[in-house]
Amino acid sequence: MIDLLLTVFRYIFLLILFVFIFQLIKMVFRDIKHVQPGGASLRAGPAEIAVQDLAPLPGAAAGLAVLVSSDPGLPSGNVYPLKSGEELTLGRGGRNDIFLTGPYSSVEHAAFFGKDGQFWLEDRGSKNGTYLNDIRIDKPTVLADGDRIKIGDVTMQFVRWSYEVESGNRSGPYKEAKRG
Amino acid sequence: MAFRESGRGYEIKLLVLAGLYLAAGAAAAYLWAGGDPRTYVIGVAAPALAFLLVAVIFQALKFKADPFLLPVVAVLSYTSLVMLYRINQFYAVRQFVWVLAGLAFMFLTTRLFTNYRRLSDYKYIYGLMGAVALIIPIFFGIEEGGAKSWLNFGAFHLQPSEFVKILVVLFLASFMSENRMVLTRDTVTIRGISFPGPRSWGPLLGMWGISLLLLVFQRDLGTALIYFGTFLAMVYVATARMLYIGVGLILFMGGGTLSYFLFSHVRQRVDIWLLNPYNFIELGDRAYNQAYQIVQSLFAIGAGGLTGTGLGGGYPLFIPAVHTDFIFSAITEEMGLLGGVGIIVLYVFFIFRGFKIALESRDDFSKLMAAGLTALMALQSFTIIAGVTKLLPLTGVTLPFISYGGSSLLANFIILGMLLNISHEANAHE
Repeated sequence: MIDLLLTVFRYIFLLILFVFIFQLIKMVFRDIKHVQPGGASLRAGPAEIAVQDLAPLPGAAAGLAVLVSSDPGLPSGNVYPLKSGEELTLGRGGRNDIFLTGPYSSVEHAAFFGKDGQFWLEDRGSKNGTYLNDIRIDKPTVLADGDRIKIGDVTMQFVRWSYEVESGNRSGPYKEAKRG
Repeated sequence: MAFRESGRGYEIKLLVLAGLYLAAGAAAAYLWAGGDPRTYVIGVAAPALAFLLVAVIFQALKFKADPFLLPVVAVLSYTSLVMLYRINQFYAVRQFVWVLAGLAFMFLTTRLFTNYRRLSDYKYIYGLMGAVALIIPIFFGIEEGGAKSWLNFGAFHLQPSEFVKILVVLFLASFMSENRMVLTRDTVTIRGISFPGPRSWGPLLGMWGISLLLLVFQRDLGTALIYFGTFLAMVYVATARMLYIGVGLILFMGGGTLSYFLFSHVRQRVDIWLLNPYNFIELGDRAYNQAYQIVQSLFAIGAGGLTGTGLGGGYPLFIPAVHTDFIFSAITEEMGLLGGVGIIVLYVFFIFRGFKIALESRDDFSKLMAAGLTALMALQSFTIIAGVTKLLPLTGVTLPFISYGGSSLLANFIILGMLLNISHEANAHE
C-alpha cells in the first residue's frame, strides 16, 4: 500500500512540475499578446511639439526635428541641420553625428544625406529597422517635408525649407543642436 | 493595461500550483524517509504559505513587479527542500530556515530599496566593501571543498564571495552608467580601428584585476569565471560592441591556459574533463576525489532514465557533495531526464524574464543592473549544470536556489528582490 502511494506521489511530483511549466508558458503568452512590438514608443513620452512653424536654421536646406525621445542626449525639441552634399549619421557608435543610446539602436543605424537637391534616408543595416511614416525602409528613400522617421523609441520629423534665410531670425523653443 | 492588474493574480495561481508540487514531493520523500509527521506538515505549509503571503502583500501594496519570477523561484526552492529531505534531513531543516530567511530578505529588499537608484551614488563604497569581503577569508577563512572562502560564525559558515557578486554588479552598473558615453565613444584610433581610451578603463580593469587575483588566491575558480562572464555581459549591454567581447574572450582563454600550467588544481580539473575520468580514480587524494565525484555523477544521471528512479529510488549519496554542487545530478537521477530538463527550463525562464526586465527598464543604471544580475544567475546555473554533466570542467559553484547553503540562498533571494524592484520601477511609470 505504501509502495503504491509512494509511486503515485513520485509521479504526481513530476507531473505537477510540468503542469506548472505549461501554466507558466500559457500565462506568459497571454501577457506577451498584450504587448506590441516597439512597446517603448507606446509609453507616454514627452509631449509632441508642433513643427509647422519651425523657423529655418541658417545655412541649412532642411532640418530634422526630434519629436519624441526618452534619450537624455537627444531631447525632443532639438533640431539638426541637413545640408545638401553632406551626410548625417545616426547610431550607437561614437563616430556618428547623432549619438543614439536607446536599446533598439544599432552601432551604425541610419544616415541622412542630401544629393541633387533632394534629401535621402538610408538604413545602414540596423537590427531593429528605420521607419519612415511607419513603414520599414530597406533602400535609400527620398524624404518629403513632414515625413516622420522612427528609430527605436526616437521619433523625428523631416522639415524641408525651400529657401535659405539669413541667420538671426529664429524663434520658439528650438535651439540649434551641435553636430557630433 | 489590463494584464498588469491581473499580474499578481497569475502569481498567486502559480504559487498555489507550486504549493501542490511541494506537497506531492514532500509526501513522496516522507513516505520513503519517514520521520516526524509534524516535520512534513510544517515543512510543506510554512514555505508554501510564506510565498503566498508575500504575493498577497505585493498585491495589497500594488507592487507592479514581474509576476512570474517569484513562482519560478518557489518551485526551485521547493525542489531543493524535497531533494534535501530525501538526501539528509538535517540539511533539509537548515535549508528550510534559510529559505524562509531568504524570502524575508527578498521582501525587505523590495521594501527598503524600492528607490534603488540612489544606490548608484556609492559605487566606490561597494568596490571597497567587496575587496574587504574577499580579503578577509584569506586570513581568517576556513577551507571547504577546495576553496578557502568561508568565514566561521559558529552556528553557520558564511561565504562572503556570494554577496560580493551583488556588490560587483552594483559597482559595475553604477560605473558604466556614469561613463557609458565615454565607453562607447572611440578615443584612440589605431590603423583605422577605434579603441576606447585607457582613462575610462583604468579603474575598471584595476578593480577587475584585484578581484580576480583574490579569487585565484582563494582557489575559487568557478566564482572568478562567473564574475568575468558577468563583467563581459554588462560591457556588451553598455556598449553593444562585439570588440569588447572578442578581447574579453581572448583574455579569458589566455588566463585559462596560464592557470592550467600554473595551478595544479586547475590542471587536474581540466584533465579529468578532457581525458577519461576513470583513469584518475587510481591516482590518490584530490584527483581521486574529483574524478570519483564526476564518475558517480554521470552514473547517477544515466541511472535516472526518462522519468527517474523516483524519490528515494536512486543512490545519490554515492556522489560526494551531492547536497551542494552536485544536487542537479541527484535531481536527474530521481526525477529523470524530464525532471532535469524541467529544472533547466525554469532557469531559462528566470533568465528570460530577467533580460526582459532589463529591456523594459528606463535608465542605464537599472538596465545594467538587471542585465548584470540576470547574467550572474545565468552563468552560475550554466557553469554548475555543465560541470556536473561533464560538458565543462567542474568548478565548484552552487546551483542557485537549489543547492544547500545559506549564503548562496540569501544572496540569490536578494538578487531576486533587486530584479523585482527594477521591474516594478519600469512598470509603475508605464
